[in-house]
Amino acid sequence: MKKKHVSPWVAVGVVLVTVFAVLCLLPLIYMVAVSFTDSETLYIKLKDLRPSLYNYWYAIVKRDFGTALKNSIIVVVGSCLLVNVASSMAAYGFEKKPVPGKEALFQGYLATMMIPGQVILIPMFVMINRAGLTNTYSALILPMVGAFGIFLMRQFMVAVPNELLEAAEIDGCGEMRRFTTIVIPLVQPALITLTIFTFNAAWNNFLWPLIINTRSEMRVLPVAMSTLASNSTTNYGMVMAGATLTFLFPFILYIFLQRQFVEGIALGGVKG
Amino acid sequence: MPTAVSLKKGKSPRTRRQALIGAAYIAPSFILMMIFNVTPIFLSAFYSFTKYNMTAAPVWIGLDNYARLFNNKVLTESLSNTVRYVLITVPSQTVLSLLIAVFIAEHMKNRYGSFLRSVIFIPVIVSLIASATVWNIMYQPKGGLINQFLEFLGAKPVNFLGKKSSALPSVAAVAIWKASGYYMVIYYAGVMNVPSDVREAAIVDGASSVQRFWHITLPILKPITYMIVTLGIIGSFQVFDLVYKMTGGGPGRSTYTVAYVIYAFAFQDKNYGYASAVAICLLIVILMIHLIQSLFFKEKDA
Amino acid sequence: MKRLLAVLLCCALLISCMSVAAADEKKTLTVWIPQYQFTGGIPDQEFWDGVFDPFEEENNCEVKVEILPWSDYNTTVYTGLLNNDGPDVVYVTDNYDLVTNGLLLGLDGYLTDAEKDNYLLWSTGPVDANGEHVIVPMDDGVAMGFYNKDILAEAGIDTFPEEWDAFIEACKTIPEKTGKQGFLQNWGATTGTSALMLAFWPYYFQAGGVMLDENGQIAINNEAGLKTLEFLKKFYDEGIFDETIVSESESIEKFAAGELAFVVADLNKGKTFTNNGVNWEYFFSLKGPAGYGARTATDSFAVAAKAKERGNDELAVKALVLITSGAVMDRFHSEVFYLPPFTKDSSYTQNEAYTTLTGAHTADIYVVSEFEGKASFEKELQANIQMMFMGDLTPQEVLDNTMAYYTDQIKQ
Repeated sequence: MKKKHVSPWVAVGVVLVTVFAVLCLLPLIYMVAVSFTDSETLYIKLKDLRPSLYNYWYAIVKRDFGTALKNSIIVVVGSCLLVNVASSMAAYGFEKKPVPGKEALFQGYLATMMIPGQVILIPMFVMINRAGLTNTYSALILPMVGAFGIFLMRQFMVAVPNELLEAAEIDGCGEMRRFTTIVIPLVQPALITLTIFTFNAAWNNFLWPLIINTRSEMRVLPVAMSTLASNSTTNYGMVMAGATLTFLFPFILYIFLQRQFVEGIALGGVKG
Repeated sequence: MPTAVSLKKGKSPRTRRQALIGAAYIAPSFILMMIFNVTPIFLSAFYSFTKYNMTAAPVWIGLDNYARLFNNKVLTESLSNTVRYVLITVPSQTVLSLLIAVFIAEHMKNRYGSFLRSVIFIPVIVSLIASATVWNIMYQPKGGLINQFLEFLGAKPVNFLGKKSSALPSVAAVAIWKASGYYMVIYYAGVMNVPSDVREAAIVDGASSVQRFWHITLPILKPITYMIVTLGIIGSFQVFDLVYKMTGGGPGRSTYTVAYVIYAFAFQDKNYGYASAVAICLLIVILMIHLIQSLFFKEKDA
Repeated sequence: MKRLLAVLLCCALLISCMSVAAADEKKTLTVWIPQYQFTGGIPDQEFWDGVFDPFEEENNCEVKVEILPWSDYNTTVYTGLLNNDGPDVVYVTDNYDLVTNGLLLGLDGYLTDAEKDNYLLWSTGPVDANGEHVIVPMDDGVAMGFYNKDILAEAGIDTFPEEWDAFIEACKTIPEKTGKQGFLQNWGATTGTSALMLAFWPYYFQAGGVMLDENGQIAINNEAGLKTLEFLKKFYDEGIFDETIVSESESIEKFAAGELAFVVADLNKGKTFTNNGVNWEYFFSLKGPAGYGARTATDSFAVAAKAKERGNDELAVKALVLITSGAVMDRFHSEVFYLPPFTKDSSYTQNEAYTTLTGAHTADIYVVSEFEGKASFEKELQANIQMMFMGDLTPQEVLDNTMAYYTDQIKQ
């Protein structure tokens, strides 16, 4: 075996990166640790830690975190489905169909990506309110469709060979079947990427649901989290239990779909 | 005659049919985009010329809102805070993620390295509100984790969020903590895309890792850097959740940001027209930054 | 990918089932009340759900009580009342904007004369464009001062130093003699304006300040305002306030731990202090250039104008009457949070010391007035006072900037 020579600089670098990784994790470890205490002071001593789920029970049962969790999951699943379907359809239309004026429209779409959320917040509030869509899931799901998804999917549509589609057409394969059985499987990685981005956006969305869904039974997790924190400023254990719950679901997904997460983000980044 | 027309335009009935099918594919997202992305911009522009508190119909007041923007001290302060915030977050998160990605790609291509990458990515999936809450508690002057540590070192506790000098950087630190992993992953993928023969050739040439970094890796990563900086600036310019949850704009007005001010003008002061004028200005500023930045990067490309 | 799709589809199916199951024809009434239980007692939600259980049965309806956080409460209520799907019965803090914009239901036609007569402050409430009363005003009570008798004795101070200058002197003497802190008061950085309500206005009244000018407009840019701010700045300059004044509940915790001589807090805190073994006593207020002064406000209960559109108005007024009835409020005041009674039929007066003290000072209790954009005004004033504490603004600049901002930006 060849003996590898490790320079001291590399060793220092390894230590630094390790320290950074620990710093990344530390707040989350702290969050979980505090969520298991019932003291109102922050000085955590080992004897204060107890394997009691009281804080979690309190947050879920007494503070309706269960409902918020359900709402968040509904919104996330709905958003992912809608965004994936609408974006891949649009991307297919843009890339593979001779629609007149499509390039101009596409450029227009790209321009909307520059628009800060605050610009459209107020009119959106007015419109949704007029339409009587406040306190509905639709109010949170429908606006999730945006230019980013269409742009991302189109980047991948380019790679779908036209010959393949033409051959299928000659074989008598119908329009819908071509789309669902040939195109969709070929752009699968992009769909996963888009799902992850949409998931992240929908799960963490705060200001919009805060304003538009005022009923407590329609609250999503970040909003429930925020009310929990301002309602009980001194009960740190319970607040941290709420934060842990908010974190838990994406974290479990991340553990299982880690490769897809990281690859998806990288793909979105490099292609975007 | 119809055939003649379509011949003239070079379009067969088949093409037309295809165009229709294509339009059908585009339609669902087109409708949603029109309703939720395009119409609101025009409405916003319209409101910005009116006095509007949502209970009565908007009243046209011309350029009044825009004229009032110029002597609004709160707005100037929030703009300068936002710029400071961008200047803190964007360079640090870009450099940090770049260095870590390149280092792991060059020297830690093993299981430990990939484990560290996974760990560094974790803050990305924490929601901003949960991050704000956790860090708020960590920053507590009495007994928060950071001050416990400072006390352990024998230093005096610091009121991170309660002091004018430290409030904004403390908020920015959370943003950096949350974003670095995200950009690191993108950079890492970029480094891995560097053709291996290019790197090997450089190694054979005896280039040191620092030289390789400056002369090979960095230039290749330029498009990614461009994108990351753009995303970073746009994201940081719109910072809201962290400020809302961590400081509420205080102490004083030291963490008022543009996005926070728009929220405050609209939903606290019920001045929707005025807030819309600020929002439109924000849009113009962001477009200008984008323009300047793309010119700058193009020039360097040439 | 297939697995992911399968999971997504299953979830979608589940959701559609759930939304079908949720269909229901019963009338639903929504009630918004902010959080009042800050100690370990019965949670607000449980208290109010219990109150409405018989009501739901009697009227064959469902009452949804939502307990809201105090932060940004005023904003939440305003947007909620605009919302077609907002609350029917609502607890109101700053009512001016709600009344002038017609967001509250005129109550005169719904309530009997006997019911109106029962409300002690009924006639003081604002009226809408049709001249109808729109709120049931409550008595918020007076925030009290607390002092630690042991610390004062240790520092050799015999009587409570109520004059402004004497108070500052005492705050300087106490740390020297006892090593404990003199006075802290919350000027919250993150908690919105409620802190300011307790903090600024009493001193302003003690300096002889009046909130509204002859035209009914807010005006604090006067001698009293300046005196008040100079007094407050002295606390900071003399090192009596420290940085912790911008963090919530710090001062109360310190007083409860026996490390602080003076504090201002809501009177419910007395119990906590006693439980912690602090030997404390109330003081009504300090005595400024114009005498004593404490503030009170009239928060209130009201019905949303939109309740009428929803056909919920009759029911909502019924619920309002129930909430504000002496029986319910007596229970609320004894089990959740003590406030002075505001109806003739309530009898619960737990706190004798408080009643005696406020009784002796009836002329020194000032009501914080309602005016346009009050919440925004107070937020601005608070930010400017914080900037004064940080050395960025002089007292005069605080007044100038706040008033300029108010006239230019807030007033419509």
